[in-house]
Amino acid sequence: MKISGYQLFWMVFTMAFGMTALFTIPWPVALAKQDAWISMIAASLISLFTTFVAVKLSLLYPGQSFVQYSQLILGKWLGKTILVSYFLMWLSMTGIILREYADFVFLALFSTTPLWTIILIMLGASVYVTYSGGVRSIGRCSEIIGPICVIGSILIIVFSVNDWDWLRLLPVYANTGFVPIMKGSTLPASFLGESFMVVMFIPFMLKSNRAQISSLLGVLFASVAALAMTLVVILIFGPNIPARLIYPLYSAVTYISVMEFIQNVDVLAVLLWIISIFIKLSLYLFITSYGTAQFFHIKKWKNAIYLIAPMAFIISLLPRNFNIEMSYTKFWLAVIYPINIIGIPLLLWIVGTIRKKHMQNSELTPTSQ
Amino acid sequence: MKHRPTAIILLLSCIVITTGCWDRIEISDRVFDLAASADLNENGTTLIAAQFIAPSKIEQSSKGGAGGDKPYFIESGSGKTPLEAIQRMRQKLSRIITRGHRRNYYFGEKLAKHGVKDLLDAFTRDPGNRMRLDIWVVKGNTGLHALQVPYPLEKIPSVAPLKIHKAVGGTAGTTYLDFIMTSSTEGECPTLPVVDIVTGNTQTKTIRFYGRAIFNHDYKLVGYLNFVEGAYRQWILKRISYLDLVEYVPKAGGSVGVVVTKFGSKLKSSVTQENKLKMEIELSGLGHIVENNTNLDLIELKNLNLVQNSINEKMSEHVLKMITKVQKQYGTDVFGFIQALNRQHPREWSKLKGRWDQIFPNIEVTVKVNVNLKYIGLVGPPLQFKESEVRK
Repeated sequence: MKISGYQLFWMVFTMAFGMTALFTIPWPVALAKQDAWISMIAASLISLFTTFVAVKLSLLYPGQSFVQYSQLILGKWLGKTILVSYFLMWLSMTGIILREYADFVFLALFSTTPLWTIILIMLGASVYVTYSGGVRSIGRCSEIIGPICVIGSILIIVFSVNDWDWLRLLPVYANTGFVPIMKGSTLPASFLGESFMVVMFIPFMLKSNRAQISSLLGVLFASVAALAMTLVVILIFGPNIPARLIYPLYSAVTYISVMEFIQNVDVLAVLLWIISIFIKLSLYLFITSYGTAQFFHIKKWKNAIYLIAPMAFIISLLPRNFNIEMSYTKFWLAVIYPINIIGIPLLLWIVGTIRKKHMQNSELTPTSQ
Repeated sequence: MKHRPTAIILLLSCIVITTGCWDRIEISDRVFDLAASADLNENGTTLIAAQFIAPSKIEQSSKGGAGGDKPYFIESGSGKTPLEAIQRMRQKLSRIITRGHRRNYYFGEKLAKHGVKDLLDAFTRDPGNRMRLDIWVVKGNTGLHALQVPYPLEKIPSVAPLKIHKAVGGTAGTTYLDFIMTSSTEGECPTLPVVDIVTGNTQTKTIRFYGRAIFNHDYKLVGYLNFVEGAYRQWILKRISYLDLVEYVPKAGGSVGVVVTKFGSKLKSSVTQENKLKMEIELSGLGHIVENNTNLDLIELKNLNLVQNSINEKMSEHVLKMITKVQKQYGTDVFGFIQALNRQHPREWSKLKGRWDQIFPNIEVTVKVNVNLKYIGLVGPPLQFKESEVRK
């Protein structure tokens, strides 16, 4: 299983873009009104930083995954304790993403099809791609799917141009201020920051020196695309309406009408959503299974999928309604994100760097003597 | 090779799974809702009616054969809320309502005066509804009545208002979104376009684009602007693409008709004293002369300038009169003044926004219309005057 830098770029882009654009826009708009785009820029800076830390951390121990080197850095027991929190996060994320995907499809397309079938079909596709080739086939998939995602978002931009009103972006900054804008950036930053998962892929890189530029570019492009979608939403709906919509980008796409001819292109938004979720889900499925296998020293990591996939399926069926998923998102933002995506990686990076230095020194000392 | 049988079975099962889904509704099980209306009943309940296509009759009427049979029918129901009314209506329908093609919605005048707040939520909440919708107020009549009026040019009459809206230079399809967007902006008041039902000289009833309806913050109808006034209001907001106007030119003793295109508008707000606001409005446009009943030879530049100045002056007066009417009579900001203030003086805006309803009627407004008459048509001196009468 090997992936190239180009594949890593598309993996990170596709995974981070879709959900950020469709799911997180109401949050910055609710807080920062027409300045939500500044929030998105702030979010992209924050997520670039977290990705940078994640990549630097992985490059300390090239060839090893997060599961292995976190135990090296913190020692076996502390490392394992931390990893449990990551497994819980990854597993619950896999389930929740599945459910969020299904809810949207349920609302937008199929309202009498039982939820479990929608979930099962998507899970089946993800399990297939993960089982058949692991990270390599996911990488190849994203190489093909990623550009489709880009074309889809360009089409959204082009089709909606005649509904834009630039005055809706004004006044800049004056109505809101620094604190709301930064608060608004947290949720998109946390979704873009899921690119932290590169810590599990870098060991598979053909050339690990390409890891940094690829993943940072992936996050950057995803942020730019999400920023463009935020602008589209504000330019069409103004500063007040998007905060109350659940999928503002979807609503904006349903509003598209080019010369009374191109209409009802809702499927563009659904397409972005489905393919982005497919990649994201497969990646989560892969890191959870692969990580579990490494954690418990299971020889054949693919066997772990048999365990993880049913668990994800059950988790996805647990939330009683949409509101419970929203409270998971709040929990993710308030607890998981600051600890697992920012705190622990930063800590590991610092401790790891010190250890490395220390080890080098101790290696150097005998030779000098 | 040994996997081939399994692969074939898997592929076949894919076909089985992907072709059918639980949501399949055959086209013969759907009924297409093209326009709907909401009215207030005597007892306070809501009457919802809708115009549906009768597919089997469409062919007939296009052949011109049977005649008499309309390719649409109207069904209605009453209830405490719109959904309850729709439920009563559905009890009479053999098919499932599909709203993907609905472009028009009528509010009866009585309902509009009573307030339309309770009707708005479902338009965006239910994904089956389209947001690109025109909502009309039916002046002096009920929405149901507007649905019933036949229209000679269109097979399905509910297509008519949409096409009229486009033909007169309006922005069709955006009124619903504009309505919720302005009503969610602090201080601003929403408007809707208006139709009324008129009987012409031929004694047949028809639908007419009347103008614009003004609502207050409680979503209650407070007044109307007529067609030209409504067009001026749209001009201020740059939501118009065509306007024809006739103005009297006193210095020439006749009137000149102009078609205006390429609309521009600038709002400039300034805070003069404590809480005293001034709004300078500059409207621009490109004019084509299509009618000249004066004896002026328009090929002469000085005559054209005379007409242009005179028309601009008159229009400025009329626009100002319309704004003053809205300020004094209705006291509702339907021109986006508060947004202009917010864009240009955000600090003053945050001080004044809470009391906008008291401030708006007292804003000092100046209007300057600047239509540039670019084309005079195919005729220089008017043809209906003798050579000696034409003023060079």
